[in-house]
Amino acid sequence: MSAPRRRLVRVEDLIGQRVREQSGRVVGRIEEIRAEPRGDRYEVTEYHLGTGAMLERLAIIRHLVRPSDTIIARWDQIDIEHPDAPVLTCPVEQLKHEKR
Amino acid sequence: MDLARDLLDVQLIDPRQRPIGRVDGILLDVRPGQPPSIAALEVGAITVLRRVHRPLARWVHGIVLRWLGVSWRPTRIRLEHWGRVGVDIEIKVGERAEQRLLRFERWLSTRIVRRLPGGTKGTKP
Amino acid sequence: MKNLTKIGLGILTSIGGYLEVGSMGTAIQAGAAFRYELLWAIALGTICIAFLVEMTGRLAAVSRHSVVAAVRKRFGFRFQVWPLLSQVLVDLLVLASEIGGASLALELATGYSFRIFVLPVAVLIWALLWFATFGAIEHSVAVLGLVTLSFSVAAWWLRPDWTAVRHGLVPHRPATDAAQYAYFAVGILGATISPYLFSFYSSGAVEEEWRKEDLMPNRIVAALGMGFGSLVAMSVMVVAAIVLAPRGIEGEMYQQAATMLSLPLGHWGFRLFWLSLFIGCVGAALEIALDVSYIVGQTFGWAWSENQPPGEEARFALGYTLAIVAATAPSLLGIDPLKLTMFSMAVTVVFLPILIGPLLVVMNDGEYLEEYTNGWITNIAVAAIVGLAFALAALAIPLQLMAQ
Repeated sequence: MSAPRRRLVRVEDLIGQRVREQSGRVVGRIEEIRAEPRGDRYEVTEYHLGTGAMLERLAIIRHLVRPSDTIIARWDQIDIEHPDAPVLTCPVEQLKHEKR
Repeated sequence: MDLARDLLDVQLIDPRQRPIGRVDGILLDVRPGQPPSIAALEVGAITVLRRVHRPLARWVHGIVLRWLGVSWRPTRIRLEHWGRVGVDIEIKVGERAEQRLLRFERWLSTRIVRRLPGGTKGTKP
Repeated sequence: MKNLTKIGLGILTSIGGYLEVGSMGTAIQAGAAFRYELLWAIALGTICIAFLVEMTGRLAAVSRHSVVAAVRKRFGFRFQVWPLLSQVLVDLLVLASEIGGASLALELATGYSFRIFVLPVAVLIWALLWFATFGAIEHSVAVLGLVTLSFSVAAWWLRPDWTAVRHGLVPHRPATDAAQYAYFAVGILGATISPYLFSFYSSGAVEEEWRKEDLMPNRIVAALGMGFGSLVAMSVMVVAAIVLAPRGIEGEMYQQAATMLSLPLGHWGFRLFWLSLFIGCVGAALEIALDVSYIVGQTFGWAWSENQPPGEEARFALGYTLAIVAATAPSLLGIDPLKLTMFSMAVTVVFLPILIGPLLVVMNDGEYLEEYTNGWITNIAVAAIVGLAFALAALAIPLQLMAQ
């Protein structure tokens, strides 16, 4: 049995990257990656996607800007094997939406 | 925890509670069929330069390799022994990581600073 | 009682350390050319820096972070590298001006060209940082810096026209030569709102382990320290207005400008002038060189403390050493200290938005400041003053360059 494929991917390469669905359309940018402890490891549970990444991550005028949509994708809904081009693994309708 | 907000750029401390560096990069272990997990934290000049401009970082690394013959590899640290301190997460590094992170500091201190007058005085009052 | 001593010392340090080549040079030039008409620039700049100093002190006390550490953590290195590089550049330029100013003071004292004093001055500054502790440096700056109060004594003795002084404290357009007026305003604002001032202050607050109990003393020191300090700078402008302006002596005519204290204070006046310049510049140089070490160390998370001997924190010592070495270059090359000063003030103003913007964002972040975030008055005041400075710079500097 061959060893499972394994890649090392950098968080800092993923942050700010545009996530596309299979058709190529942009869904949003990765703004945050959430991880939880499972046993002795920390596993990624969610990706948080947003629209105008920079302004929102900096949250310059939090109170004045309209609360915008954050899209939450589970770890298995985005393929990050190629961190410069993350791709949805599911239809975009299955993603959760949340107002921040 | 939120990796970009809580873990990246966070302060690292040595076993003696002194600051020793910051988290410059985070490496994820990506296996098919499993959730990505944190493989290691990375500390290094090239790592941090990469975040500003990746081609520049590669170029600098190449120059250092070719002209100084030094492989300027970053230090990798496992995410364990961390705690929340106020607004920060502080991560304690092990002895071996501490050695690696302080190698420039130690070189500078022994080769140059301690040879100058006043360099070796005990902690000043 | 212990709090009162702390506050008193803090205020004294601010007063003693207020005057340096930037505030002196711009006040003398502006006073000689426009008399009292630019007093408002000193007042406005002081209000702004008082707000900034209070903010960074509050940040240090509540979040236990210096400005730079908070900005890196909050925005990430990819963003913070730009304020960092900007601040190092501005710091180096101002440090170069201070070394030039101190050398110029020695030229006034001895008659020999300032260029031969550049290296000795640099070595003096380096040695003080190498061998002394943070507390010792701050206290000596405070005490020795009180020599600059001779300007206040002189200003009071010269009996200025108080109506004209009052008029000058209100921002207004000049009767003549708007371009040079705006250029001097930019210079004064750049000298007063110097980034190293609030950055160094927050590093000091972290070194001294301020906590929430220190918030009120912090406010008092910021307001009174900067307030009284600005009175000294205004005194310089008043003396220049009374002594230099009527005689048509301009700021660049060093030997003559340096006699401005001789009329009110007799033959000690000249000595007090170059002593004030020398001590003010060396004091500021110490803080700026340390600031470079602080901001680099804080950005990369190294141990940083002036209270450790150099052997324990070699990289920290390397920081201020390299800064001092680099800062000797312009003066060694013979660049006129006053021109260098005016140039670095203009550069300071241009970079103020990128240095103060992130700080304003952090100061409104409840994660860092809990319930002590900025009020809207503070936000608007600082943003408005920085905006004004930037607008003046955008207009005045090109005009001034064209005029030369």
